[in-house]
Amino acid sequence: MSIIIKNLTHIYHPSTPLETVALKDISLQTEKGQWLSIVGHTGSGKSTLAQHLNALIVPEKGEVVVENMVARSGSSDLRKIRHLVGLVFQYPEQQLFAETVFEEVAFAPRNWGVPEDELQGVVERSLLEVGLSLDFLDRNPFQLSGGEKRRIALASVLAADPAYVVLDEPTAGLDATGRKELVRLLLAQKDKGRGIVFVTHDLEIALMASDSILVLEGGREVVQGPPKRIVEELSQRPVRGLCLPQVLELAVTLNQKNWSVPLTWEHKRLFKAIQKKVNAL
Amino acid sequence: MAPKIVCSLQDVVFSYPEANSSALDRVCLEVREGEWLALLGSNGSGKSTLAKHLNALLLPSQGACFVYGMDTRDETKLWDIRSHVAMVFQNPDNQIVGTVVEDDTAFGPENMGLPPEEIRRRVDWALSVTGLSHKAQNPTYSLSGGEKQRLAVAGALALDPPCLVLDEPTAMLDPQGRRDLLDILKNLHEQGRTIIYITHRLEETVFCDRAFVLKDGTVRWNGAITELFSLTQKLDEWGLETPPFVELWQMLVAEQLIPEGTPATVYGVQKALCQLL
Repeated sequence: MSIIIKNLTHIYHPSTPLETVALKDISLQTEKGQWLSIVGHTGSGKSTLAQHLNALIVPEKGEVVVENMVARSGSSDLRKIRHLVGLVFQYPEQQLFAETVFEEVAFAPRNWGVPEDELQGVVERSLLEVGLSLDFLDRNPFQLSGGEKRRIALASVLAADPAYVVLDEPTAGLDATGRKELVRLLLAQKDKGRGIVFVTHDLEIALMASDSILVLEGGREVVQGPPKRIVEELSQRPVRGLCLPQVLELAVTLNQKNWSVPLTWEHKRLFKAIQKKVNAL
Repeated sequence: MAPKIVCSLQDVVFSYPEANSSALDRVCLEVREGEWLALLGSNGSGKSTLAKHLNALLLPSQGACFVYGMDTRDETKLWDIRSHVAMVFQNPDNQIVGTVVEDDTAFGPENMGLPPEEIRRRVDWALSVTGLSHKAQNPTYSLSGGEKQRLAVAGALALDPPCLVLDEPTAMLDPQGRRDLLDILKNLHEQGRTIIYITHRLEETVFCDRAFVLKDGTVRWNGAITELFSLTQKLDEWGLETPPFVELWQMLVAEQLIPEGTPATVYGVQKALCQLL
């Protein structure tokens, strides 16, 4: 059970003066119960890639296969793919539309044929899953805070019970507490067996939470693999628009001065290595 | 000569209509010319409310707020106050009014009724400081998020204000955009401008001289940045999460591996550590 992308290339406005290559020869694979992060600068093609995952964009060159179904325009599988893969937009305002939280969250499951008498239960469960109380049911989603809106957007995607959840820069504008809370919620969803695809420019979160990371630059793959592999590669060469977590940056600069400390983004680990090094003097 | 007082809040209380509690409760604050002040606090702590007092977008319910010696309640001084203190908001889309980059930047000085050659000079200067000169003729919608935020700063700079207030200006930016913006502010600060920087990210305050922490509308801390970084438990209590790097800095200081005054930057820590070898 997996999402497989093979040699995907996407060109906006082909054969016009505005022609832009958004993605060039991208391949990846991720499974249910896995956390894949797609990391890159603004304009690196990560949102375009995210929109391919649930067939909002159908590939023109290359292949997207979700649970053995190939995304092809006109195919009857497209609807199934969109049911299996839920997409949470970057700005909840682009996604929310209903007058009450209940209507908002009930929209997708109703669309996928959940009977009316079960809807209440599905909506309530989804709200609780994103850490919101049932007091929110009758409130207007547009009058909630930024963090709450984001949770509603996530709840409305979870309500359709997707196998994969794709989130496009879900932490932009959230404060530290909000970011931490969101990561915690998503890890719980991962433990339930959902696949998480997390699109971000925050390398720190990606390193902490991911099983695997794809780094993009200008629509091309820079490196792909588990966090350890990413750290090795990114300490060798900078990637446009990305900054190493400061702890890792310190480890890299210390090693340039022959400290030979581990390349880590965990502050406790680096602290111990530094302490050991100094004590040995 | 003692530096000028840019703004002075004296026991300011502010309540939003229909709210049960005050958003600001007896807040006192003095900012001196040339300072870079970090105004810190978690969501809902009252920091944006305070910021809006600094250019008379909000007026105190009780107490008083003076900007360059002018009482913000004095309506005849409104324009004068706003030409001294310019504001940059969190979301640049709320601030951009023009359809072309240089027209947007010219909006403020045009409103002030400046002569055309002075407007031209200010727009060129503001765009070059913010690194947008090459985009002067571009439509504003075509800019990236980072460029839009820099345009918002350019628009404020074109007013040539001695004091800039920025309300979480990096919230929508990627790490590179964030660094670029901080570099711009560092230059402006070195040129003698007063900067009041609102954020909940401790790692963005390393260049600031002084921190001012709000929680539930009251002042909890007012002092030097490096001192603030050592208050591990307090930071938690105020809802300010300590970034991993600052935690590492705290541990290194606590174990006396680096001196207390070491700047909490990668370069600062690395330099202090290498002196041990």
